[in-house]
Amino acid sequence: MDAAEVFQAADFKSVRLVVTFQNLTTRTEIKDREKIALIEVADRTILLENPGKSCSPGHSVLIKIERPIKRKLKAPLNSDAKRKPMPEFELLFDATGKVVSVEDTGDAVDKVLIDLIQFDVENWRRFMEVFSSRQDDIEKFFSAAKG
Amino acid sequence: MTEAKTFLGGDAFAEFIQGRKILIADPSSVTRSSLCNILQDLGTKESQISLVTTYEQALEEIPRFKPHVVITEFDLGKRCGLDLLQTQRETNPEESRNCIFIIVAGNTSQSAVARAAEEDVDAYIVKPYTQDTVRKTLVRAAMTKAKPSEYVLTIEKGKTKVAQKNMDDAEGLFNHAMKLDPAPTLACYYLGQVKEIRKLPDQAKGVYFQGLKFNKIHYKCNLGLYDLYLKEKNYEEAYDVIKRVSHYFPSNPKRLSEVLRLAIINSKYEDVEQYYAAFSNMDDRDESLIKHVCAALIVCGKYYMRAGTPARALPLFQKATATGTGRTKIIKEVVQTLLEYSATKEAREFLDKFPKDTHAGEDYLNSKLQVADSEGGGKEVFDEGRVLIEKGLADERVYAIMIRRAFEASLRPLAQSIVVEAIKRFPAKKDVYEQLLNAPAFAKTSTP
Repeated sequence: MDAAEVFQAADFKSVRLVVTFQNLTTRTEIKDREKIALIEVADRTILLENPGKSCSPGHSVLIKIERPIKRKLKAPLNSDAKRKPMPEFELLFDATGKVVSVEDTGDAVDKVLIDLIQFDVENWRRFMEVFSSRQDDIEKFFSAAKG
Repeated sequence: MTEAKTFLGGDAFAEFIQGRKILIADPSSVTRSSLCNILQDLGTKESQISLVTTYEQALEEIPRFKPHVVITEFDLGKRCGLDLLQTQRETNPEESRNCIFIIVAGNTSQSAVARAAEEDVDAYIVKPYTQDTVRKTLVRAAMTKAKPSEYVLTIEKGKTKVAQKNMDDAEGLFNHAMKLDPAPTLACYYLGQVKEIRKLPDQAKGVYFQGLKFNKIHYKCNLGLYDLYLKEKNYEEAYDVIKRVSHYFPSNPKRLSEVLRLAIINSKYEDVEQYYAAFSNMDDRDESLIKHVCAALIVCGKYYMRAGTPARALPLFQKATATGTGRTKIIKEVVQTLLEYSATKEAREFLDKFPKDTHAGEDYLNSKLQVADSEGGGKEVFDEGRVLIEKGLADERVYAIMIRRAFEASLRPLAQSIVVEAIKRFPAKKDVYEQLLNAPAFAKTSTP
């Protein structure tokens, strides 16, 4: 297999995810979205790293997973000023869910396991596909590059 | 995430992992905990696993714990997880050969993945992951180490023969390995290495090309070919190879420096702009790379000035000064280049880019005087020049200006004394200064 034929540089653009976490039971939301990380996905469950005390088992939550889209702005040639584009987000997936377990892992963060309850199955399938196909591409590339 | 505890290859992994130790390095406590659970499901005992948060902790833990498997996040604070592999290879070469090294990363950019492949990392797992992906990857990596194919075993035997300097046997083994795999690129690479050791560069090239026919992005074959061309000083071919490598393996700062150097040697000025874009996307830019990028942009800009297309040169100079923030030598070089081409107005604009806190430094003072001279400044230019000479700060161009101005003011003895002083400071420019003494009119445009 020649990976050069199947591998395009653009395929490997890193996908940085931004997660929104609303606790519908306590009517609170984690304001700093940078502090939430999606660690693991499985069939209809997700594992999040959240700041401590964001939820408890049994709580209903609303999850939104987006990715930033960079808009390219042309900077004038005669200016050194760096103009940072305003981030825009593309919604990849959203769902309501129920907190199954919360484990304090230290570092003031919790390991939060959520069962997804209400969501668009097609969106979820597409979301999972993004990562599994990326994993496949990386494996193909590794195999070709290392021989 | 409760799942069945029997997995395909799970038994084999459980057998493999017996008595072996695993280090997990990840700033995320949830990831550490999650990976730990997956490993335990695969039969690993808690006592076999060590968890660390930072690069520094991992660095301390590796020689103490002596792990057989290292699973690390790519981004470990300010350091990269890959650095652990390099450190381990340097400090424990024997142990690192048998160690399984896996990256688990949120960063799936091409540059991160390519760097990992370059470093011969065993696997790369994307976050967020599924337990199944982690399990399969672990099992596959373990089985590759524990039960390598005949092809891999033959190559390993060949490598041992190379280390023993038994080239006949090594060559025989690599030739045999080539029959054991439908795409034996790695065998081609090692055979090429043997040919190189035997001083048969054309045959080495032949097998590298053969390997690249199976797989044109094979890292080692490409680099083997590149090194050969460099040794032969065949910069054009070397550039073609490294350009192709950079397309797939874009992140290595050292390589980008080499590519820039070769682009300049081969007069591929248009390409430099493209490499600048790659540089802009890089996370880790060391001092050496910044210098190479600035130098390449300036050389490129000079080329466009020479070609009479300043509109193409100026953006490159802008980029060079922006990249070399605070590096006054770069701004000075741009100013002097522009003055050489009588672009005084533009030189003045670049002079304004010197940070205020560098205005007492010699780069600024020399540049300022040269711009003022080009603008036709009067006596104050001469006075400032004298101060610079007295303080020992004047550069070679300022001396040339002062010689010319002394002549213009009919101060021939002063001009002669400046020439003597100039030759003392810049003996390599003796001929240029003596020529100025005879034909001072050239001083304005000459570049000592």
